[in-house]
Amino acid sequence: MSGTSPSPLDSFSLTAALGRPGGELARRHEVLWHSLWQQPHVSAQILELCRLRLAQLHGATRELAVEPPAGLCAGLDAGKRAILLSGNWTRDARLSAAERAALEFAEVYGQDPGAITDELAAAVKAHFSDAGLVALIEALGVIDGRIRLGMMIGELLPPGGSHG
Amino acid sequence: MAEGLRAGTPEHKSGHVIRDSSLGLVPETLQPVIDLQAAMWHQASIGPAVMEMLRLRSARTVNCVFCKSVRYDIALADGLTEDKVEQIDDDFAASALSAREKLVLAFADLYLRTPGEVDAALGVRLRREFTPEQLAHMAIGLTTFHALSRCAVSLGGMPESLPVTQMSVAV
Repeated sequence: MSGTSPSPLDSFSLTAALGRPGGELARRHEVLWHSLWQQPHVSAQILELCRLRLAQLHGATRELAVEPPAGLCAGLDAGKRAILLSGNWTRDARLSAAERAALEFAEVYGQDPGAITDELAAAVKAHFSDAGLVALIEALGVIDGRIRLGMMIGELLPPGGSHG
Repeated sequence: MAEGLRAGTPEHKSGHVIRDSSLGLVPETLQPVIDLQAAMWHQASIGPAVMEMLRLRSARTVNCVFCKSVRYDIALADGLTEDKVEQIDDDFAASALSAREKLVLAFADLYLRTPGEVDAALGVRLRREFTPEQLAHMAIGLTTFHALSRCAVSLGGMPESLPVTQMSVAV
């Protein structure tokens, strides 16, 4: 990074950074963000595993270091977090088949959504139904986007999101 | 491309392009998506033409055939022309677009390609040209368009090509 005062954010601290300058648009983006964590089709625990995997793919170190606020997602089982962060999730039997299906989908989504196969989507639907597949894709999109913004927007907006 | 759609759509059709899509299967997130899009088009401080440039740059990077084919009438009314749209490609820096428009696309490419590598000089130019409010609105618009384009690609059923079609914002 070549900025003079790097100010990396993460998908959660982005809320404060965008909130003041973003006004109504930021408020509506927050409503969507919360709705994704609270929808009933794919659990917040599974989305948290996917958030960590997308952060790894982005090399987003700050994102990997944070945990979701309690109001957004009850704490992820520490063992599962460790499995994901160790890089051994593809071989670790402590992850459920549903968690593995979501992570395998996220793995390809994070690199190239055009490479997603019918088989990957069918594996997700087998555990979460059609609505679950859609909810997962929506969530991955917003999580991926907030990770990206967290990596860059701190360099562009005034600290604390203040004007001036 | 052109495999079948990987998720169904709502049984009851409303005539609303978003509600009738697969997104309609998740009512918990559907209205937030619609409300956010409406605000992006009607309330953003950067205006619809800039919003459309961000959307099309993202669509072309993701290669969403649906998204690439659409032109929002509100952006055309705001001054976006097909001549400008044609210049939203990888060579935009050498195009006839204005310096401000090129900065908009540079902002998009930063997000789309190298979000962790903010060039200091680009940062200075962006902060000089745009207010914090405008930068925040560009960020929210771009990230939402990007997520929706990736959503469309992920759901499959993408045709090889589509003709350019004018659309109104669905509210």
